Amino acid sequence: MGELLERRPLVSWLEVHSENYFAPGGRAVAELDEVRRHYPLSLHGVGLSLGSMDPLDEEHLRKLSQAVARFEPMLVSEHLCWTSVGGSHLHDLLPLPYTEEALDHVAARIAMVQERLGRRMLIENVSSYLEFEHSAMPEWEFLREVATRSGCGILLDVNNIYVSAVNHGFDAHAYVDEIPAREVGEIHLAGHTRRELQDGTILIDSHDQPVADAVWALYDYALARLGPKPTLIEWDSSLPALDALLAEAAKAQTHLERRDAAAA
Amino acid sequence: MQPLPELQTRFARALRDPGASLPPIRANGLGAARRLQVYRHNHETALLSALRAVYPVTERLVGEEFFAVAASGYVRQDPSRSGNIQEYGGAFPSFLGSYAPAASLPYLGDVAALEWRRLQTAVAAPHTPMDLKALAAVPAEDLPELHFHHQPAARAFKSAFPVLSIWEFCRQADPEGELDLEPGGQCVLFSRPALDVQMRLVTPGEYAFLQRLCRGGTFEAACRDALALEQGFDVEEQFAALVREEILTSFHL
Repeated sequence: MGELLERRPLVSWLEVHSENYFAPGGRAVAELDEVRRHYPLSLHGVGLSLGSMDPLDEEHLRKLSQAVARFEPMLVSEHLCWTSVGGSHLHDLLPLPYTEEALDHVAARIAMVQERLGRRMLIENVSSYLEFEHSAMPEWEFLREVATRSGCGILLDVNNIYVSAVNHGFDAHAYVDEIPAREVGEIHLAGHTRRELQDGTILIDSHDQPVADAVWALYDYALARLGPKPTLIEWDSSLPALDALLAEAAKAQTHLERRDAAAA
Repeated sequence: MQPLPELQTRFARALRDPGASLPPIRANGLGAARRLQVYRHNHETALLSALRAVYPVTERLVGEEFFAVAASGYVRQDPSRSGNIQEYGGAFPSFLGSYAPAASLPYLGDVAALEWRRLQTAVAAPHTPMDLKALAAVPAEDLPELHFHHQPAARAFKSAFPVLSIWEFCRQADPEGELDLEPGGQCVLFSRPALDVQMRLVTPGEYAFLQRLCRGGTFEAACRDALALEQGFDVEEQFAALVREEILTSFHL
C-alpha cells in the first residue's frame, strides 16, 4: 500500500477486502483513506455469509455500512456462498446446493443487505471443489436467478468459472452464454493452481500467480459476449513486485481495448 | 434431498472432524472425501495464517512446527465467532498459558498476550488530545475528584515475566547474546499517539495509578493506589507524562 501511494500508478480503480478495513482506526484504514483520495475503490467482502442459515450478523453489517460511508466505494460486492454455521465461521467460501430452497434463502438475504446498505451489490460466483448430489439446476441458472430475485448485480469471476468447469466437467463457455450481460457490473481474473492427485486433477483458486492462458481466452469470450466490463486482477497471496501486478492489470486493459476495437 | 440447515451443520462437522459422515457430495472423477479435503485444508490454512499474522514473535519462540501443532489444537477448541478473520485468536494466549507441551516456556502465554494487545492497540479508534487549557483551568480543590478518559488504543499489561524484554529480544532478526529472565515481572503500557504503536515499561505504582483512572476511579483514588505500592511515587511527574503522551485524553468532575 505504501509503494502504491508513493508511486501512484495509472490504474483506473482498486479493490480491497472489506473486512480488512472494519477497524475504527490505525494504519490500514488511514492508508485506505489516502488511496481513496486518488482512486475509485471497490469493497469486496468475504465474511457476510449470505448463504448461511445463521441469522445475518448485525455487527458485521454495521461495520460494512460504516466502511461504505467512510470510503464511498463505487462498487460493493460479496460472494454467492456460505461461511458460517451455528455462529462459528469457517473462513472459506463454501458452496451452496443449487436448489429452490437455497435460492429463496440467499436471494432474500441479499435483498435484505442491499436494503440495509441502501445500494445495489454485486454477487460473485465462487470457485468450487465439490457439487451436492441434490443440486437441481446448474450454477449459472442459480446465479442468474439470484440476480433476478434479489435485484443484485453480478460480479463474474472468469477464473472461478474456469476452475469449477474443470473440477466438475461442465462447459465454461455455456456458463458465460447464460449470464445476462446487463447485470454484470464487474469481472474478476486470477491465477489458479493445478494439483495432480492419484485419482484426478483439481484446480484450486489460489490468487498467487499470473492468470492462466485458458482463463485469458475465456475472458476474451466473455468480453465478446458481455461487452466491456470493469476488470480486476485478484492477486492476494505470494504477492509479486508492484510492477508485475501492474503488468497483469495492463494486460487485462489490452484485452478490453482489443475487444472495443473489434466491436467498433 | 437434504434441507439447507442440516446440510450446513453436517458440512461443518465433516470439515472439523475427518471421521464424521460426509454431506451428499457428487462423486465425479475425484471422490467425495478428496473433494471435501480441499475445503478442510482451506479452512485450517486460513485460521493458521490468521494466528501466524497476529503472533509472529510467539511463533519464533517455539518454531513453525510447534506453533502449527499448538494452533491446530486451539482452532479445534475455539472456533472463530466473527466473519472478520482479523478478530480471531484472542483466546490463544490463555490456551498457550495452559498448553502442556509448552510447559518449559512459562512466559509463552504472556508473550502472546502482549502481541494480541499490541494488535488491539494498532487498530483502535483514534483520539483527540487533552484540552490542556481546560485542564489548567480546573481549580486545585477540584483536582482530587476528577475522572479521566484514556485514548481508545491505550492499555496496560502486567506480567510475572520480563515480557517486553523477551518480545524485543525475539523480534530481532538475529538475536544476539542471551536473554536475561532475572529482572522478573514487567508492566507494559501500550499507546498509539498517531499510527505507530508504542510500548513502554511502567512501574507497579504507575500501573496501579493508570488502572484506577482507566476504570473510572478519581484522581485521588489513583494517587492512593500508587502511593500504597510506591512510597516515592511522583504524582505530578507521572500524571504530566500520561497527559503529554496523550494516554489521558479528557476529564470530567
